[in-house]
Amino acid sequence: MSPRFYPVFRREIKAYVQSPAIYVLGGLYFALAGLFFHDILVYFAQLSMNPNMRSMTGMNELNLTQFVVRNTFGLLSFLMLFVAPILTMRLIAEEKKSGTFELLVTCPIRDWDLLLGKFLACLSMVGAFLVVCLVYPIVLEILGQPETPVIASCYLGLFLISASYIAFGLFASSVTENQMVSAIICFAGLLTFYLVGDLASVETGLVGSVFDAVSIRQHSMNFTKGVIELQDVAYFVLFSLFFLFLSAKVLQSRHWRV
Amino acid sequence: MSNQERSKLKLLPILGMILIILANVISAFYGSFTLATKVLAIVGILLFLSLFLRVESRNLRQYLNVTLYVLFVLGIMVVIYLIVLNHPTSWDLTKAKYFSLSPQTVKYLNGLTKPVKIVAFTDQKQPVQEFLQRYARVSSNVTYEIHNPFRDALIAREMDTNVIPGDSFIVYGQKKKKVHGLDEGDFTNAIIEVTREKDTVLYFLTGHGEKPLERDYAQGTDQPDISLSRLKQVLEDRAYKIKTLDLAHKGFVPADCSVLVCAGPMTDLFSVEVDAIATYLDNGGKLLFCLDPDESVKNALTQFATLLKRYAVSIRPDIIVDPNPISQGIYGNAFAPLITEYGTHPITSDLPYIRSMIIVPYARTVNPDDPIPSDIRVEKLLLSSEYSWSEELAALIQKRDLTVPDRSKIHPQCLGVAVTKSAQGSAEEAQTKLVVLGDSDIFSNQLLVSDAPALLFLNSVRWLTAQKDLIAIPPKMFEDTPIYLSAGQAKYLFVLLVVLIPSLVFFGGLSYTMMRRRMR
Repeated sequence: MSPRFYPVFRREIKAYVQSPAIYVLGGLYFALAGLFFHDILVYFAQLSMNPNMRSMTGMNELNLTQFVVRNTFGLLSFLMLFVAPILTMRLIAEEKKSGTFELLVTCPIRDWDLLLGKFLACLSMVGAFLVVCLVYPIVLEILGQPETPVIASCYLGLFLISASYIAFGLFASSVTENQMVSAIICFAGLLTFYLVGDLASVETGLVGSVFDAVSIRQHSMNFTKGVIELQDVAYFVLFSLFFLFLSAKVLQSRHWRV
Repeated sequence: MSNQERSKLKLLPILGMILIILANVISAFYGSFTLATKVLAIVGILLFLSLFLRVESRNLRQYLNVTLYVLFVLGIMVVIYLIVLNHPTSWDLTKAKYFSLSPQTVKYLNGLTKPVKIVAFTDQKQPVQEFLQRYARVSSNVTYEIHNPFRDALIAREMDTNVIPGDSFIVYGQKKKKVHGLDEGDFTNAIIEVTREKDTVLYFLTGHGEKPLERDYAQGTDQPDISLSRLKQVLEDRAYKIKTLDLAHKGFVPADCSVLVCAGPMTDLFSVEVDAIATYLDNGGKLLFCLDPDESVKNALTQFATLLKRYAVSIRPDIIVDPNPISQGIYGNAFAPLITEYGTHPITSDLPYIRSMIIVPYARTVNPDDPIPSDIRVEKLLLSSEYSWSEELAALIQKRDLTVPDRSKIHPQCLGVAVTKSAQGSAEEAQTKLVVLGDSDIFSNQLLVSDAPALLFLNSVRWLTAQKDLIAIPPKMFEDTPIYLSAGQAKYLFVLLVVLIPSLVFFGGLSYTMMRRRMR
């Protein structure tokens, strides 16, 4: 017996696959990610082959994993900041605008199943993006000796970050009928959560600690270094759950909002 | 509610926006958020949020219910997060465990019984916080504070008159020690220093032509720098106190002497000095002798040999010959034995893992005596290659030629021993301990260019002073994994990663959707 969210999940996957927008977005994402990866790799190779350049940059140890993998995955998670709003903006806003939302909520499924189906479908699309990105570790494996556990840590981090971005995007999509407004709310909100870490580095005391605790960037750094901290995993899981919960509350508000 | 009142309420979000902007402008002007600007911003946010509130009484009640419910869930999540935060668990997946503390540091921190506070000053909070968190996580007795030395100038001045970004202070009761940078070895050793109950004092013996502790700058640069000033710096950085001792004048070894060091004597001891050292050793003294081959047949170190014989150590007027190609390539002769084997001992346990090798130019043999008394334990520390042998100095000078001896004489030569003499049931601190090495040149400025000799000396001192729980913290380094990419490979990768894969996704996907539409 398939889970109750499955029909929504299947419907969303179908909608994504049949939409040309996802391929345009994918093409752009891989072009940019590929360009970043290529540039980082070529720079690393130049450093490897040119001792003068190496001494000028003060790099005593040239570690492929810490240089190429870390920077590439840092940029991939930054790019996801732009991808998530586009992927999620239509999830609920479009349904509201076209009027299919009313039909959807009259189906015998709970709000949570509806949200879970949409969330997992979107996450699957991001998962597909990440699978294509496996070409970068494969290239590294052919050229050198990257540390596989660190790459696994980067992937786990990128997946958790994407999940929290999508949960936030879903919430942004649920508060408005306009897709553009949803994308803007999502991007602005995520950017705030991303950049609040910069304030944490200048603010000391309790305020600094709070900024530190809510910053997406602070929590994502350890994954790219190859360190899995339970607090980082907890942050992204709780972040996702909280915004899924908020989305559910927004959906439920249709019963009493005038 | 009248229309006039409603239109007034519509102004609240605008007022909120104005307050938020005002708070930010004031903060930007003063360079930080003050209490007043924080209150202003919070009031502004609350007023702005009123935009989302419909003021009809029925909805207001629902909004309040949902808000409380959301706050309740948020509270639970914050509590879960705080629980996880207070039970830190992490997995360092890097090969070199670069982002974890060494087992030695962890072991020492676990043994702390009193609180240690680290006060760090930096303008880059993130890396410092990450580093100090590793210490605080291991032991609840370690706490830390991070300040900006410019913004928190008063706190900085309390610590020191000259504080720059990157300085940290390890505070333990009334004692404090300054550290610069984020080196684990420096931090851990600073913690050891401030938490140490008494100072460890190393007395360097003088009066026998030993290597000087300070560099003689009057000496020309064409002369080799044989002073021990670098070694002295290494020891002082690790919180050891260094003093010199002219035993012939003083007549006895001071009571605060933790280790008596004699590095490279050229002349022999006086009998009064032998008696003073023997008395010191009989009372559980610790000795570190680094004895080069005799300067000449006339200046043989016979008193040293007599003294060491009491502790089952045999030194002879000889020199080690080791015709290995590495040493010959560096020194151009066969008198620089290469250490190829280390004894199983705390002093040498981490030496095989150091990247640099130890080559000892002009060394003498140091062997366990035969027989060894039952209360004495002599352990070999350093052994030269299997192709080495020893030559009697007098015979070598006489024949002026080096010939390969009988095969039975060619075998690894011992260059250092560790001796323990203990009365039955005595505590480790009360044991008499000696480390005797067959060379002192490797500790001079001229040759102290790699980590290995300094580590050998430090490990010896730590073993002698019974600080065996923390022998050394090897420097953590990422593995050097360079890659080589030809211009053709780089071009091919560019086409694959930037053109081919994105195009496949882009055009492949669009073709698929167009085909589906046509089929429909």
